[in-house]
Amino acid sequence: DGAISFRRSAGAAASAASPKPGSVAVFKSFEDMRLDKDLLRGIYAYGFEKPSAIQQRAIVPIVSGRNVIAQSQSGTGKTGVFSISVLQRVRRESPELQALVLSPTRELADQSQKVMMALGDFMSVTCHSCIGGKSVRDDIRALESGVQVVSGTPGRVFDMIRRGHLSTRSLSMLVLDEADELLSRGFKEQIYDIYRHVPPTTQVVVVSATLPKEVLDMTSRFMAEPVRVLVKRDELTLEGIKQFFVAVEKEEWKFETLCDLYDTLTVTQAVIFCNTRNKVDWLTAKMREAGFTVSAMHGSMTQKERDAVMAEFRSGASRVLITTDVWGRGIDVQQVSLVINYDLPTSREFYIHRIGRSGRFGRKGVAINFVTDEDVPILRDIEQFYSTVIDEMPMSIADAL
Amino acid sequence: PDAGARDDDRWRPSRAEDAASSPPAARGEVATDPNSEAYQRVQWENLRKGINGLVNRVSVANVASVVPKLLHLNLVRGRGLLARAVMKAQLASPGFTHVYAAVVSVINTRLPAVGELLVKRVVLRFRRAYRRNDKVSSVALARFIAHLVNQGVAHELLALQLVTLLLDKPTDSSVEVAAAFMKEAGATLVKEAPKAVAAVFETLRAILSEVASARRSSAAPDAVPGDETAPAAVSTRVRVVIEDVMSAYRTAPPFKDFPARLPELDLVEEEDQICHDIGLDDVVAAQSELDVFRHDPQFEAGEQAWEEARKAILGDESGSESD
Repeated sequence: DGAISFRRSAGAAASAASPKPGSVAVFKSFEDMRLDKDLLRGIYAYGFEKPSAIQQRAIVPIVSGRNVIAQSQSGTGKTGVFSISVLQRVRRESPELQALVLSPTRELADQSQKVMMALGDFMSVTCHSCIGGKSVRDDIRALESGVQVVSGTPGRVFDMIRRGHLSTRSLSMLVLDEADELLSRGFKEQIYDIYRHVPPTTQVVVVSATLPKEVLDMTSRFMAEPVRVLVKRDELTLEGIKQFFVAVEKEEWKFETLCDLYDTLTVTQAVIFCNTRNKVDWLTAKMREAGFTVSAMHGSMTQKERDAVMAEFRSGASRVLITTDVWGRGIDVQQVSLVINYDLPTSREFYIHRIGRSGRFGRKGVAINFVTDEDVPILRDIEQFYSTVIDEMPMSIADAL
Repeated sequence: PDAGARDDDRWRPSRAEDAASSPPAARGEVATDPNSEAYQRVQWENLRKGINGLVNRVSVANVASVVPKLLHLNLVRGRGLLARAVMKAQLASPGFTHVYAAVVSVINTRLPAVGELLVKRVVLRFRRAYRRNDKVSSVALARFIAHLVNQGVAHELLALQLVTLLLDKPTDSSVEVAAAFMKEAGATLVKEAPKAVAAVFETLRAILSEVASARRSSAAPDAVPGDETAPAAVSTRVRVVIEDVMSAYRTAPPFKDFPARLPELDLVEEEDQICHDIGLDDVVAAQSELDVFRHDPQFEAGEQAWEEARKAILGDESGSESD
């Protein structure tokens, strides 16, 4: 039922210098992992019943203190992996900062902090979210009052370290969430800067949906003998997600097609992707006119505005989220059953990041692509690149949703 | 399959009848004689789509404006379609149960047949899901019953029968469904039947102490037939679930954090509500024939009658903005 199969032997994605994924023990229940009693309570109270495939394999090695690379598709419970591990590793009697989680976006950092707070509800572990866009003064006050776990974005975290407000002296665990993002582009230098301040014995956990070879090579610079838990590249992406296209021929026919979908399908909550901010604004107005409660998000919003939009959508106050690719990846909205690419994404990577979220925890997701005549080569390229099949949406879809 | 080998024509709009994908504008629609089957079928499809589209749109913020739009549609003819659309949506998104129950509640005051049909179907579906040990559906449908009781569309006796059934032979699943149910319906039940609620919590407490003693003796509790989870995991989970609902009950007033109706969804005066007294074991019909198209020799008369009813419900402005 959408279970992820793990590679037991060395795979093509691993270079000769990188550690080979060995066989990893599987723990079928959270109780089997011998976790702290209060943590276990928090896990069940949060609504987790059984560990996901990646959780079954990655939590115990991390808890035992090993360096771990955990790689699996977005939506398979990676946030749970490091959140549970961090909480289990924290020595509750010590008020000092012991674990640092770094994420590429503010939403993700915030989300991880919230998940850790919720899971640690019965443990009284202090966890602070340290992200750009929020008051520096509040950050300083929180950090100096003593927090045991920090979840943050690299820029703000390093800023706090440099200014001496964030002490890494007792740090024993460093988690890099969405590590491929963190170790590429603009973040790489900041990660190294932070790493230089971390005690040499610190355990490092790397979590990501994808790990390109150059990133994997880079991890070897700060991870000794890591345990690798990973999935095949092919299964990394669109497993369990039904993908369809709707030939709309012309741009002008997209909106009518969208309304027709809403008259035909059962849609709990949907995320609709557009490629530009203007399009987001236009579609938002158009859908509101048609009686929908809609949230909209794009890159030129402030952090505060984005937080509010996400909160609105998560709470169910709105049933549609219209956004550009700024929505990022790995943001967990459980109820989303449908992703609509109103515009096809401008890159192959965006396609997975958009679609991947609808397949959380084996829940079936549906993705619908609106395709104009000019879009045909783009869709064809996506289909080929991911060796997947995107079929024309049949009438009987209403029964499948 | 080699995607590259396939023809680009795949992405051209299909001419096949079965393709939902051709834009509506491209589909020619023909209007004909109201007595013809073809005409009525088109009307039926429009009714189904209209209902479905509105059910997909409704949220806490817009219930009050969506309901009048629903009442523009022929809900006498379409009551099966509405019940079906609402139940499908509720099952797909239990988080919106309170919203759907509020929609039904308002419509029920005007068209009690709609509320009655829905309560019957929810009861039937719950019984089936419970019998089949389908936990996901059982939880969702119990939640629907809770909110229909909260809205006064279903009787609290139904709620009490339900929780009694769940706790009669407790398994991990049934206790979990019962606990979730009590959180949703507790505020209403405490008001209407405080003694019955106290008895329910007495039972929950007894289950809790059984779990505790079973753990102390470290002997695995007798596995309940049909129970798929390992005993150790069962007891911890059930304990958390029971403690959780107990703490909700312990607040003053009880279930303070789980109000029966949100202010935005409190749309009907209690004395205006029409409560359907349907018990959990009552023999009721699903009337699924209402969900499928049938040619109606009295089609125009039916539409005319609905037009009159709609005017009475919505007042005179109803005709102006319909369709």
